[in-house]
Amino acid sequence: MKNFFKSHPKVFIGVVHLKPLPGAPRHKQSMADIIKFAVADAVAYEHGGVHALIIENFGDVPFTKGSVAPETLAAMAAAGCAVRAAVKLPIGYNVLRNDARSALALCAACGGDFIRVNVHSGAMITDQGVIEGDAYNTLRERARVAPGAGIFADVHVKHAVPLGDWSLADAAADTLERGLADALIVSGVGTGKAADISDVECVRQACPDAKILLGSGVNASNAQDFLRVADGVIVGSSLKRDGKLANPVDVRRVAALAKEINKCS
Amino acid sequence: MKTHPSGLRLVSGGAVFTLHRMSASNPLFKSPKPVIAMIHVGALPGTPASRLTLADIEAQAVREAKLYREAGVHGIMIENMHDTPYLRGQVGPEIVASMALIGRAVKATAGLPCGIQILAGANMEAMAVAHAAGLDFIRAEGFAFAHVADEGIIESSAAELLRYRRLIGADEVQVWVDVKKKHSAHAITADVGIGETAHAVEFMRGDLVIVTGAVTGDAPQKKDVLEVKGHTQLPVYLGSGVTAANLKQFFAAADGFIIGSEFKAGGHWTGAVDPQRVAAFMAVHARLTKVSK
Repeated sequence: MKNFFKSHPKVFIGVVHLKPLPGAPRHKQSMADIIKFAVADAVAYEHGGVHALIIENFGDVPFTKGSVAPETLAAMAAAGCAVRAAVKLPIGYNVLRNDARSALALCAACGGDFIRVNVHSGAMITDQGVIEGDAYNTLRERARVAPGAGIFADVHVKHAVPLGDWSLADAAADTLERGLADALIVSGVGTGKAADISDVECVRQACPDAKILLGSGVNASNAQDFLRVADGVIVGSSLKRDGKLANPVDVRRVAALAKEINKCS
Repeated sequence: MKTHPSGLRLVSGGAVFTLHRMSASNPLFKSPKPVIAMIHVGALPGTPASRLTLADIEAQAVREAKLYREAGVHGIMIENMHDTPYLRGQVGPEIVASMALIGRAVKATAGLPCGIQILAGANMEAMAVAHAAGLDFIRAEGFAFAHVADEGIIESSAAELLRYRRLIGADEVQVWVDVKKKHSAHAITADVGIGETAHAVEFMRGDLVIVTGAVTGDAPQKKDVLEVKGHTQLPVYLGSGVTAANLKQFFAAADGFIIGSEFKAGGHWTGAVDPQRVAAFMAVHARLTKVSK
């Protein structure tokens, strides 16, 4: 995981949005078709030049704020090992909305390199209700099942507002120093919405040595602005064909963004 | 599915079985009395005996699946047997994810009907993995009634489990059910016979009944097998202690055989799969199949 940032001064992570999985309200496709779609996206990302992938159960709205059910986890493991077999990239997991334990389990089972945790420290009012960070247990669980996995933690995550008077700078410093996150993620208000550059600068000022990633709304025209301050980007929405979330990943859009990112390196 | 001219078509839960005289056949298998070989996967991440990486555990399971396929077994089942001491009734996400990965790899290697058991009594997790990994059946303990296992009290899971199967769209996954399971005390159901238990499994929409001896490696009592056969139209498989030496005495009564210890070096479940032992057993099985036709 540490080498990961070393070998890429500016990291480009592509998001594999899984279609609705078994048990989810919008579940329609067979597992075979869901896996096929995910593998095609992963291969398109690899050909377009991303440095890593993150696999998300993005289709499973509405999300739970607690642990996901076993059918979700088993399906993500099946998709994860198919993706792993198809590409050579490091792979991470984000089990929405905040199931860090399951994400670590997927790292352990499928050889994952990192997880994204939406609320790692503090508490946020989210569309799932109040979610509290559980850094204490997440770090212990990592030691138990997936010691090598990085923890990339959102600060004031999207689709949520902080509970109480907790500044972005304080949240960033706490997540890094007291939550022991390996990287901090700054996002806009929602999926596909860009962060304010001033927020990224605020986090950088609070945590001068942290690895900082952008977690929403990055595209080929704004990537360079963000990467002057940040160390990498996590991108899904803008890389889909015609920019539409439900569409497959467009390898040309990936390549165009990769070109912008590599200029910053 | 077609029904045998002299048979009776029975729809039960996720599977359709054809009954013919005294034997009940399972549509998953071409063999009238299939042999299901056990893969006891290495201790999984986070469990007390864990020492191999998951890649190594997967590779070992795939090696065993290949040996079994080449030896001509009819089906394969994976089980987290080395995860002692077992949790009761549910397992953590690291076990679900690991078993999904291994299940997928074993199925792809074997190209045979494959199933899964997650110890102890983690039947919903097993169902989830079976569905995600494209497996064909689960082995469930604690389906009907209750017993005291070495993990503590295990209670009926049928109602929740079969609703869950419907919820996730896994109707095609069969549920194979242990009755009066090994490694367990059954004093709390002392007034319920094994036949009555098997009947309850059928009533509760189980797909198949498994009869075992007292512990792993112990043969069932012949009278138990006959009593179960007399109380259910579901297929009845034997789930412990069947060997090349004793297969003949059970062959007529049972509809299938789940074999672990007998296929392992030294006849103990912790041993490596021994291709010669598998071949010897399958030869006896083939001879008995031919004679019974």
